[in-house]
Amino acid sequence: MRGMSIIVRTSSRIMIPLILILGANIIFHGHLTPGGGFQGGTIVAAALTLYALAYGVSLNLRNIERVEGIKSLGLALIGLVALAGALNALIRGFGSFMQNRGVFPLGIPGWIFSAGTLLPFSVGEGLNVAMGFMAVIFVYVMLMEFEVKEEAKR
Amino acid sequence: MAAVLFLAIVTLAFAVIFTLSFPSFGSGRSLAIGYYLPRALEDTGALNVVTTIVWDYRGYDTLGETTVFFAAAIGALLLFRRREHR
Repeated sequence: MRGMSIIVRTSSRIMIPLILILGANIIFHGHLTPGGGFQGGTIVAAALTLYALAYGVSLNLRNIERVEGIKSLGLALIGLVALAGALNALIRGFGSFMQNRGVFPLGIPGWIFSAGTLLPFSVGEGLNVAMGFMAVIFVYVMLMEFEVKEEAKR
Repeated sequence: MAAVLFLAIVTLAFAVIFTLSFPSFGSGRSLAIGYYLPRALEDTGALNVVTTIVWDYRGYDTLGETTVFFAAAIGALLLFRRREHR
């Protein structure tokens, strides 16, 4: 898909870093302030969508693989952190899958590196949701290009 | 048709009755509040009780939800990629 005019590109160049910082802030403070992985992930996806629409996006296999790879990384992070609880149950005899009891340190409440598993869960969910919505945007762009091609054929 | 209408009316009546039996909004009489609020900080060390419930007390639910989202996005891309190649 081709990009948009220079007005859209210039203003989105200003807005995209701000939106990305807001999304990262909400993701990384998921255990401290309202919000979390899903909410911050949608905001990051909004910034990436603005980038894709303003500057154009090429729908080759490499970009799709990149999106799917980051998405899988998020789910793998969640799965590994959840499996740490199961490993703890095997070794020490208490706890269970996804349970953080003596696995990750709780830390001081209110600090960024606190609350044990909640921070990696938020980050993984944020990656998963942001890239998931990017995949949806890719599907929409594909449909749009398909319609344009069909119109050109007629 | 009459049976479907009857079932719909009965379901609606149950919904109204159960909704009226809930504690009113903001009254603080919910049993879940009495369980989660005093324990959340001690159990998980997080200040945001909503995240605590979503990712710790009901973590399996959220894990399943994330997996469904993952599979849905992959499925959508797979479906439309084949159409693109044709």
